[in-house]
Order: sequence, then structure tokens, then C-alpha cells
Amino acid sequence: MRNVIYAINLTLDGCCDHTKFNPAEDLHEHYTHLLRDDAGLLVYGRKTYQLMVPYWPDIAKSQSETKADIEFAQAFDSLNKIVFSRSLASAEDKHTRIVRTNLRDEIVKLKQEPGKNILVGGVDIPSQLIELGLVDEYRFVVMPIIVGQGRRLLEGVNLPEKRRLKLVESKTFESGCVALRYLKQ
Amino acid sequence: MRNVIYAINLTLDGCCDHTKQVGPDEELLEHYAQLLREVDLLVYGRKTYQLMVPYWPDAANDPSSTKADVKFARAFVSMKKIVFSRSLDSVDDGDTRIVRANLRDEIFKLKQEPGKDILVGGVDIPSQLMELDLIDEYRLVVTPIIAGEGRQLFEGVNLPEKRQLKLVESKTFKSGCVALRHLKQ
Repeated sequence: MRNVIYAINLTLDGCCDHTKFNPAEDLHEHYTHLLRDDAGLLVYGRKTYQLMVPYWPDIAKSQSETKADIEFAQAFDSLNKIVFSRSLASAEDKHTRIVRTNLRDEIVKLKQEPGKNILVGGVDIPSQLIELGLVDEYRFVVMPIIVGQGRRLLEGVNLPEKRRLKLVESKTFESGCVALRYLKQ
Repeated sequence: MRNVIYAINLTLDGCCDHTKQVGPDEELLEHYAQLLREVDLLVYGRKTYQLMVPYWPDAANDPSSTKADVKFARAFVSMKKIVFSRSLDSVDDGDTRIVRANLRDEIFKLKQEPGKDILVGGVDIPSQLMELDLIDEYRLVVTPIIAGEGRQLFEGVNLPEKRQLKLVESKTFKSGCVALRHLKQ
């Protein structure tokens, strides 16, 4: 069965709002590896999808960005994507499928299909998947920043009890970011 | 000038409520006992002080305490302490001084006195010190837990702009806790 991996950047005080910080340059390679080596499918909600597309596909085609940017963009562009949305009419990207049905059923079905892992991003969809106990692996990048405001990870999520995870990897970057990898227990 | 060090345990989703975490194991107690050796003054608000005292002084003399408990407890008991409180009348502990005056002025004065570093704990007092930019070093321990609720670190803190810190150390424990050390930039 395929694993569902949730990856996100966080500040030290647990803020996951991407507008509150700029991800460090040395993270691109980290995420490129994640896309190339571990993911066979990307799953987003509409908001995150529209942050990523057409932004990254455009960079994949351009020649003016840094090598790290273009490598990430190309890895991103080549992956199949699913966007959960009730309002999105269509997606121009040929690798994208819009899904309107039940999140839980769709993810359970996708997990049983063959292929590499399923990478989810954003906040709303992953929060629902965590509530449903459907996230198997977490890739958090903790950035050396305190913002004192902004949306917190898993704000308003309703867990019957706290989840204890298993730390399996920790890696520090020159920028002071710390990439942590956890498995569901 | 002495540094002000802030140490706290956090869940992965940024919750700093100690009731949502798991009790410290031997390795984590050893980590904190080591930290106490670097400082010679502990600063708390009333709530945190009353969580620590008489709990740890009692543990120091309790024959049923583990070796790691006793080691930490003894290091804790031997330290000078300041508790900021308007309501606390008196304390039993001989090495504790109650301060009612202005937090900023008092910490500023203490920083200029000779001695080892100053360790602050809890949430309210450190949040105020963070706002005042009086914390020089952060020792956060990220526990492998998703709480999904509970008080968030620096909730309601008012920062004019985000604080960029410098990561200087990262250490993982068998329990899956990750100890991070950051300096003010």
C-alpha cells in the first residue's frame, strides 16, 4: 500500500502560513528529492494548488531562474496531481485531475493503487487527513523564525487524543532549517 | 553581559501546554540537568514556579525518585530563583526572591550583573521577554507529538516583525525528541 506523506514548512512557533516567511534557498534541493524519489502523486486543495500552478510549471519552462528552482519546477511539473475542489471548473494542466467526491474514500482508494507514495501539501486537506488518521509520514521543515502570528498548523483540528509519532530522520541545513521526518505509530 | 536563555518543550504543532506532552524520560532530564549547569539563576512567573516548587524539591528527597529525577532535582534545588508575581505572598524556598516590579527593568539589571546565564521557563514571562527582545538564546525541545489543541507558543505575542534566529545546534534523542538551540541574530 502507498503511504500518504505530508510535507510542510513551519516556523519555530508553529506557524504554517507561507506568506509569513520566505523558504530558504537550500530547501529547494530537499524538496526536489522528495518529489523525485518518494512521490508518485501530488494531492492538494484548491488554494495550495493555485499557489503552485501555474507558478511552478511556468518556471519549469523558463530559462531565467536558478538551477535549483528549475530542477524543482521540472520535478513538480512531471508529477500527476489531484486537486480536491468543489469550485474549480477545470485545470489547464494536463497532469491534473479535479476530484469533488469524498476525501476519505478517494484517498483510501488511491493508497491501494500501485505506484510511489502520495504527497499532500497545504493545510486544510492535510488537516482533514490527519483527523482521519490517513497520514502515514510527516516531513516537517522547521525554520529558524518566530513570527508570533499567522495560522498555526492543525488549528481547529479535532483529535480524540494526541498523536505520538516516531522520529526517523533529522537533517540540518546551512540556512538553519531543520528537516524532520516522522512516521505514524 | 549575561545571556537570557529560554527553554521549553513544544509539540510538533507548536503546543507548549505541558499537560499535552509526555513526562520527560531519563535522556531529557539529563539534557535539562546539563542546561542547569550552564546557568546560575532561574526566572519564572508564578504559575511555572508553582509547577516546579515544591514538586522538584520534594523529588530531590523522595526515595522512590529515579536517579535521573534526583540528579535534575538536586541541580534545580541548588539554583537561585526569581519569581515574578503580584499575588504570591511568600515562598518557603530560601533561594527564591519574589519580584513585583517592572519585568523589563529587572531583567535588564540582572543581565548586567556578573554570573552565569539566566534561564527563563514557562510561557507568559518568556513571551513578554520575547516581545521586549530580551531573549538571547532559545533551547526548544520538539517532542514527537501532534496535540491538535492546547496553548500555542507565543500566542497573542505582538511582534513588529518576524524574528530570524540562528540555529547553532540540533540533537536528537532516543525518544524522538529533537533539541534545538537558536541564538538571537
